[in-house]
Amino acid sequence: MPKDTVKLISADGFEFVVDYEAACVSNTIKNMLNAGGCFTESERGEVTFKEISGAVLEQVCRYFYYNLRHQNSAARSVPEFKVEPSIALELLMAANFLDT
Amino acid sequence: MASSGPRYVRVKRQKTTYFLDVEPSLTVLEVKQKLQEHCEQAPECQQLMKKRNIGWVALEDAKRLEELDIEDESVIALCYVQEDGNFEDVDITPYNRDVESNNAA
Repeated sequence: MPKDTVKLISADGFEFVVDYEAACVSNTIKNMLNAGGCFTESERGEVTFKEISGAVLEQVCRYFYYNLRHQNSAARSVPEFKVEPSIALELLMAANFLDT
Repeated sequence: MASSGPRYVRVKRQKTTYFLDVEPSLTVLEVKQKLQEHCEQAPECQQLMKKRNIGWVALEDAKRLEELDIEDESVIALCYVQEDGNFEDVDITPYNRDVESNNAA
């Protein structure tokens, strides 16, 4: 796996390979990856989330890219980030945990 | 409105999804070369598939993404070559909630 990517693993075993820069939209992940050897996460570039399902984690990753792309855009030009209502609550809890 | 093409695509096989930064001008072969860094399969051992109305269709190596009507955030299936020389079928593990909602429907 290239060095500048990170693998995020969901509770149900789905794996998402994203850019390091995208993953660091989450302060929680950023801290885990930069903890300097305390976490195995920082050595292998893998983070496992025991509380987050694959369906939710994929939306989280989509949000990372959405955030990166629009962080410097004028507010009115930013399109809405669409979320299915059925997943919204879980996504909110994940976002809270991930400090995103 | 003219499509500006994809900024990234989601390449899926079984339970793995690669979020891959791409330029619309990249060819399918170049995408496979990018994927090689992740999956350690040579480009000729990979087949990329896109879901169309008629089902999954293989993407030709020489084509550019913008020519293939690949939109931003598109899901692309990754298939590996098998021992018999044929490519495996598309195999993307669905999320549990998808299975449940399909059963309910």
